[in-house]
Amino acid sequence: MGLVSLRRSAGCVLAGLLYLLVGTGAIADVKPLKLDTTADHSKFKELQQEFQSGSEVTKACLSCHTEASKQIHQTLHWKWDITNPATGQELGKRNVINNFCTSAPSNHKACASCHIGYGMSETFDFTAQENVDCLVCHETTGRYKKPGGFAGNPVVKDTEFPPKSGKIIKGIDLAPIAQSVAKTRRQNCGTCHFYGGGGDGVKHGDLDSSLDNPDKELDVHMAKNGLNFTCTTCHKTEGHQVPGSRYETTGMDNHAALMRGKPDDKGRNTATCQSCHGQEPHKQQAKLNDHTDKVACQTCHIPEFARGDVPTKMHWDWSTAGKRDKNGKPLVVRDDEGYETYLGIKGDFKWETNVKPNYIWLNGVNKYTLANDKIDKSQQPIYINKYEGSPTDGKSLIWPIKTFTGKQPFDPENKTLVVTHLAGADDTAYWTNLDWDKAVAAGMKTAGRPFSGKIDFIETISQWPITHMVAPKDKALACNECHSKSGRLAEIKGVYIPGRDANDLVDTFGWGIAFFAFAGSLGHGLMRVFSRRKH
Amino acid sequence: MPKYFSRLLCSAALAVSAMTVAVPASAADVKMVGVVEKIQLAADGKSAQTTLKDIKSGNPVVIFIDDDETLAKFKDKRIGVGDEIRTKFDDAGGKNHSKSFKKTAGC
Repeated sequence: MGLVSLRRSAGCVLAGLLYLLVGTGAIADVKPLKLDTTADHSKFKELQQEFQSGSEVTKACLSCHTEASKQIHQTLHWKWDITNPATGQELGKRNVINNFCTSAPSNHKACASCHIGYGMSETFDFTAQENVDCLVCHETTGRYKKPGGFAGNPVVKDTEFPPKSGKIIKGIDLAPIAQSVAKTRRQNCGTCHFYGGGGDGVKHGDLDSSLDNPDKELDVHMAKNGLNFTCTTCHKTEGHQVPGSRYETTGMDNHAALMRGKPDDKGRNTATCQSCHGQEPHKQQAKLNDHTDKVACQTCHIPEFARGDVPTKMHWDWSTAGKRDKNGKPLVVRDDEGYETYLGIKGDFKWETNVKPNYIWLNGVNKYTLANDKIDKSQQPIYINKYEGSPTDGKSLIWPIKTFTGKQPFDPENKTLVVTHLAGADDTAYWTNLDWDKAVAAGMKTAGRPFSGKIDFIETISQWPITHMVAPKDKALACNECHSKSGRLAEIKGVYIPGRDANDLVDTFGWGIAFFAFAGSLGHGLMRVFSRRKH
Repeated sequence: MPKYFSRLLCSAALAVSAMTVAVPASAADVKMVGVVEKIQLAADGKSAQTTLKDIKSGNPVVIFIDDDETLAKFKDKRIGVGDEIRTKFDDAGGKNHSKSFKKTAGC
């Protein structure tokens, strides 16, 4: 009895102390314990200052993370330059010409909004450590922005842009943004990768802002109410290197699931399905595992792309650009849902949602038509990039792709694609003056490439592997989607697909046997009936 | 014959009542692009009403917003008057409850 009263008294004293502490504010400011990190960057003195530029933030970061910029300097995200080991081609945004906004060179002030550096230009210093932008991948406020026109720099003071336009870009305070840094979230990656090609969902088809907060129907891995993966769960970095670039796609991963620390797994692409699911992923319907040596997981498990109610561009015709409205401004035409189907500065577009992919044999080698490659209008459409693959090379699987078609300017005399100067306040930028002659001349001069002065338009195609927006297994393709004569794989050659394929000789022979068996039975029956009557 | 008529009347009544019930249930998602004319944050900061000028009709449309992500954008001025917005909202009960509210801007 005495012990119980003692406990009660102690409890009352503790409760009283707690009340006093809370009442005096002694523990009122205690923040909830962060369990996903061992460092709260808001407590670091280096970050408790007023920053006048992004580079100043980077210098503060580097005072602790001494090797970070040096690691970044080795990455494709930084260099925008990569040599394809299979073809020897120099790829990356500094080298390729695509059939969206065509080229980053000559447009760096705008395009560099999506470079992980500050002050990108034709003469950019790729060796400067303070030029690395840590915030774009690590800030968590969602307030960090690098507006187009500022060469990848954030705007820290209210600025009128374009100059004399009356439009004000609000400056942002970099200190709380710098203090918020943490592991990369999907929104960090999405800032650029969801908006590739000039807007939400434009380029990839399987990457758009619907993946900010997807449900399971859209993506079983990223669903907030499911596995809640971030991009880096699969694209797992090592020394800031991000695996899984389309410039060096893994067409076939025939290894078992990755095992941490296993020496043989060093350097493997962690972003393949097999790196987690292995070679026999189907446990309940083991027959489906017979497909994995020929068919990429994505083929069945991503039945359509652009499923998140955000359409993707499927066609872009630059040749029709240049029209103005009655006020002399570039013409804008929208569809019923408000998506632009014509822009005076860009030409005609086609948008689609819930798109069925095309299917190809893909071994990962991605061959580009580069700025110095010869092209001929008689052979249009020209492949901007084309994945290689075959049923017999032992390295290919049947993959789903987005096929994006376009019509873009080229030099008919030199027979090359051209670099176009699109963005900028100067008189040569196409989006300012709608003058192709000036825009292409300026673009080619900046890129240091020969230009005849003549411009024509040529039809082009680009291929984009589809690998995100993985649907739940009950939404995967049904068998008859492929195992039928006019199914999704109707055009795929070099593989026998039951239900699709037939050999005329075997079919004739089989039907012949059936016919003769039937005729024989019928004849035999008739003869018995006939002979019975006789007797 | 009276039995036949009573059945017919019952069927008609059922059909009418089903249609009456179906009207409010059929409220659908509405997609719209418009320019922000006004943003009114609630005193507790947990919701907001915005007025968008529909670019197609030119009419003002009031939309109710209560998702944290968009409210945060209002609070720190990442979305403000004059911005062009692509929105999807549920017009059930005339409340125009926002399901998606994003700037249209691209490069």
